Amino acid sequence: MRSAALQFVDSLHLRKNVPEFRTGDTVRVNWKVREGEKERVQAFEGVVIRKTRGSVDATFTVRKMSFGVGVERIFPLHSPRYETIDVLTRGSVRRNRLFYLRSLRGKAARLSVKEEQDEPTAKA
Amino acid sequence: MKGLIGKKIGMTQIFNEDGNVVPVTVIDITSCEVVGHRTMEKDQYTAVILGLKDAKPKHLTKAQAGNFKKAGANPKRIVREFRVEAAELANFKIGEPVKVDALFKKGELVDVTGITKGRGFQGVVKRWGFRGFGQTHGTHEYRKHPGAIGQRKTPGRVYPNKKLPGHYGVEQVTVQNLLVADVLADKGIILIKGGVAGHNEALVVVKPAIKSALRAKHAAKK
Repeated sequence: MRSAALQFVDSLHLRKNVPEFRTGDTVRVNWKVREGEKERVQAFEGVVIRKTRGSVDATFTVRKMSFGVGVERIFPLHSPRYETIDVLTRGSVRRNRLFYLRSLRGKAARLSVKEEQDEPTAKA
Repeated sequence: MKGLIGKKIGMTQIFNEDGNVVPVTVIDITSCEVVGHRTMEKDQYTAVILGLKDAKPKHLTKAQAGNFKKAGANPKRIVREFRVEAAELANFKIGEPVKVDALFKKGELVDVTGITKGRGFQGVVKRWGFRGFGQTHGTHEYRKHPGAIGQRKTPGRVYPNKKLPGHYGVEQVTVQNLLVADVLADKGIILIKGGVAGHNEALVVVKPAIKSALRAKHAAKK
């Protein structure tokens, strides 16, 4: 159990608008890049292969293929450095950490897309 | 006054202005109060006495309880002194909590003293960072040993302070030039970048960085 003081410090740095996504989802992270004075947005698009739990220290890993080379980037989930995270597709996967994708290439490395389910109504 | 005593709560991380992750130690000073003064007339030096952690009467000797009662302060379990100039003494009223924001500001450097975690009786690899011996290439029952500890008949003894196995930990360690990452005065919390000696809930002493103060003094002279 984390102490109340630690929880309070954490609460100051939690992002409120973190979108809901899971491993296997394809996301676009709109990362803010600072170049001198200017700031611009650089998108990083790929499959989420890992989400670590935790409060402020939670992270997620996005993997994409760039010119035939696998590139992975770890983002802090509560970082103020990204503008938005767009969830593009929901992947249908059976495990939490998709490290097996690293050894797959091309067609084998695709994930089947989960059909969007309607929000369950209150009655059901 | 140049410092305060606090309780190490633990570590976490925060995002700074640039959005980068900063590892921080959380130090709680909510129970840090002025419990007494040392004055020129009585003690031949001037200092402020700070107390930490409220004490129940059963935890105090009668002499200690009498001291707190005489000064008119809440009894505390931990007591430390900090030297101040005689003129400043009046700024610290007995019984009042220490004001953090007046002492430390975000971006300043501090030295933090704590007592390290006890590790028990340890060998030379853990205690002194010896490399030990190869795990392979025929090493036989000689992997984390100290090796030779001296010469032969001359000098015929082991030199003093030879690094050998023994008790490790529970020693006072000061980490210098740590950055104050944030001061949350209303919650009585200081965030200090990096690690600090000691277990959680342990006593830590936070003082302004002695080296950066010296450097500033030298720069001012030039």
